[in-house]
Amino acid sequence: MWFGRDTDAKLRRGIRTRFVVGVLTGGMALLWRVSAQDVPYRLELADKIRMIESGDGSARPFFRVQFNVVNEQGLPVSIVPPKDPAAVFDVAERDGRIHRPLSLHYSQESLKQVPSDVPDQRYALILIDISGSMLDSAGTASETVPNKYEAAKTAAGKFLGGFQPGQDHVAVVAFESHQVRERVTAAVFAADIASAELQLADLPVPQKHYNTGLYSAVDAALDVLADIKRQNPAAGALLVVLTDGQNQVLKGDDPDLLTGGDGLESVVAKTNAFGLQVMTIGFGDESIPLGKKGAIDSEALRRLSWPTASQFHAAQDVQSLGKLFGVARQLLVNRWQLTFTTHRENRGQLAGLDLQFQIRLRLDDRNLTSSWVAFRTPQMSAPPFEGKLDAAERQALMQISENLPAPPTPLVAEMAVRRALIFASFGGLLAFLWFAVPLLLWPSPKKQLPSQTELPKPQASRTAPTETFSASADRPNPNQPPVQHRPSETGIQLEAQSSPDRTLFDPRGQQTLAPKRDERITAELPNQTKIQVAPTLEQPPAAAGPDATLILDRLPNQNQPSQTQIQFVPPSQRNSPDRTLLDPRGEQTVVLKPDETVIDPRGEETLIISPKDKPPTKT
Amino acid sequence: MGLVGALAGLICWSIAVWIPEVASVPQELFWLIDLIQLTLLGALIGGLTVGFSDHWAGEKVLLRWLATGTAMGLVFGGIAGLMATLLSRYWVTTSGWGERVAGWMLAGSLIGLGIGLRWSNVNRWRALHALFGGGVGGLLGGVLFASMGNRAADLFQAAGLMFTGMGISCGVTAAPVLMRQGMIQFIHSNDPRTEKKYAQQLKTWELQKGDRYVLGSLGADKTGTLYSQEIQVFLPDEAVAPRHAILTGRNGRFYIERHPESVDPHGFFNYVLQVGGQELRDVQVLHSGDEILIGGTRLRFQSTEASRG
Repeated sequence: MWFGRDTDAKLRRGIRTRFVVGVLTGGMALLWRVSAQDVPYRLELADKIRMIESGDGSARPFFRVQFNVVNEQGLPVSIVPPKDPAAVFDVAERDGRIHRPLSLHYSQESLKQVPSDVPDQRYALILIDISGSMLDSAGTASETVPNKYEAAKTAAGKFLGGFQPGQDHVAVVAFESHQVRERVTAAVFAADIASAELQLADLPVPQKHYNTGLYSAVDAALDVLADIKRQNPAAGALLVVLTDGQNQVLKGDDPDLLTGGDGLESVVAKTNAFGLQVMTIGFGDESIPLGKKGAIDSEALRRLSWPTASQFHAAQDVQSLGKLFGVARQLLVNRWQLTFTTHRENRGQLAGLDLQFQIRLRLDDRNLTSSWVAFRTPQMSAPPFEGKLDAAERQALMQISENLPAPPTPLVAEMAVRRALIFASFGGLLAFLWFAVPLLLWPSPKKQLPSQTELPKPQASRTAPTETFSASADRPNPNQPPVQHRPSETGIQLEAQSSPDRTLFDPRGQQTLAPKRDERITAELPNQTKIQVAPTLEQPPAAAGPDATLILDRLPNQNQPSQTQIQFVPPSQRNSPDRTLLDPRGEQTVVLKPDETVIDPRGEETLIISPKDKPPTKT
Repeated sequence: MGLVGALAGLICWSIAVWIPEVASVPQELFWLIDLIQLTLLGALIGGLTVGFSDHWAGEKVLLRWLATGTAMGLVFGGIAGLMATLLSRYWVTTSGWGERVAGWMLAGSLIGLGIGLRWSNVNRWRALHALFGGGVGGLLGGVLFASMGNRAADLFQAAGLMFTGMGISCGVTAAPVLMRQGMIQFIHSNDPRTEKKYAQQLKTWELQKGDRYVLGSLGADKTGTLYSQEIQVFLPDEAVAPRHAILTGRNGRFYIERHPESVDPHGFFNYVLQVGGQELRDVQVLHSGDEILIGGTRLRFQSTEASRG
């Protein structure tokens, strides 16, 4: 545990006292007068939860989340930060684990009193509708505020109150239905109040023919703020959208503007994915039915707001509108930023998981909680980091690192070695499956081919001989070059495959056995079938007997021995061309032509018989 | 052959696993990591499956076909990545297990579909076989990753991708074997090239209902097809016409006929095509054990359904 769970009772009382004082003080700061006792508060996200790294090479995941304390209307509530936030804040995970804060920031203050090299940065993008309807009366028309447009400009000025140079960055962008995306993406964030006021003063004037590209404007604004968050993940970001109606795109407007239900769904999905705080303001009468003049599409605006629909607000006059811009300012300023880590030492431990967190503030008389916040990881890999701990967070980490179980520090080299090992292991497994398993399972692999074992036997009637001839000719061929002989371990002459004699060729063994006339040979090729050849009819066969016998005598660990009888059918009697090599096992029958060699299609052995120029001997 | 897909998955992992190390990716762009990974997976499986399949089929491996196979896998991998993203966006559960597994399954199916389309001219169901195989592989891979990924992310991510790839490749190549209803087997050829090519390996071509095979001597490098083979039973025999015969499976039987290009305009048969020793003149039903003499090459037809033989 990084922080002791036991808090001194005195400290607790101090926190309690400070909290009560804080609530009272904060209540005065509220723009909406609400009773802290009567209205339930809650914690509401101002930015989605983001996973960051320590920056020291460790792969331990840290999480950073920004949130507001709001009432049930979604209006920010100020409370005085407790002295020891670790005692009152924690983060619950769905699996029941409780995580203590590493650090907690409230606005620019650091509750841990650690120095920060960069003050908190705040970015606000204000979108103001300048469609034709903004020229209508603002309800309480006056000389200073003749229409909604002027009312919006006046009210938006409230947002600039308390502008902090060096911290605040504000961009005010008008949108209608022309060049919507271009204008929004060209937003310039003013870093001083004069520039911001100038942007507001120079806001383009509405024209009657302007429509409302609301969805596209929000879509583009999210992209702008997301870019800022990528550059500065710890920055606060807020999008404020003011409109007096609904998304309306007509002929003559930008051709690619989002519209209809699909357009709305697209932007809503984007707000959820980006997780940036979006406050929507409907300027008009919410009670007017949609489609009638002056109506605001409050349903769409509720859906566009983030994180909840409570960040949609309606205003009917310049005063209430001004208050809402003040609320927007408070949402951006009165933010808490909580950083924590979990028991996971490596971000790889998040692979395949979607985490759910809930931020909790435990007080004596109430518990404030956020809704469950999801941290969703990629579908097919471990999540990457979105940034690094800032200076304050690193400082806090160093302070508590004594109690922190030392995480492994996987350097890139170590990671590379581990991954290389995984690659080699799986690669080796594939190679084994590819090459070794077939050899282990099927020492005579071709026999195991499905084609050899599953197919029906051929019709034997085609090979029935009526007369047999001897095949035991030994015919040296003068046209063949001298054969290179060399003794084998068994003393059997090994010849090239082109031997003119009868040869028994084992294609697997790369060896050829060449028996002489009337010679019986036995050979056992290494790890192969034991082969015997009894070429001569030592005992004359019956009329339909075999001319020669090829005996396939298997090794002990193989199948039962079998024999192959070779029978030749004379041309006059044949019902198939010339000689026939019949395998009595019924698996294959090969029909020979004159001068033809025979290859046993079972692939076990190759019997090459060349009776060329040798008249068959009738027996 | 299924190992080819597993190999593709392993290579894909070895590349994709480094993406989070080299880029700081915001959460809203996590889907890009999946997209890149699936696109890469599709491309690798597409290229390797086509290459190995052609190699084992006895065909020359054409760079053009490899490139098209890779491109098809890449496109369908990209589509799979987008679909998986949409799925995860609109189907959200607390743990994320269900949509994650479904995402893997969807991705495997779509990549399989894209690669299986290559063989659709042989059998229109082949794409569905690949889709099914990819779905099963993706399901296994997804369950593995979603259930065990947090224990050893690298290991189970690699295993998940290998399972997905294996499922796709098995869908493409194992279905013809598992579902075959017949086969033609090489026996012998007078042409030494054919003999050398097929004699020792006892070459067989699996046949399945709905298959349509063209038998001929037209080499892969002489065909103009962009993605698939034009000749499915390639016989480099001088006596065999470039497009010699057509073998089709219909209604549980297999038929052979002369390819129109092998017949003289005047109706003479320029090339030998015999079944059971009889010259083929018309479409003929094949019976199990029938020997087919095509040019100087002898093949045997075997049916797995003995009653039909």
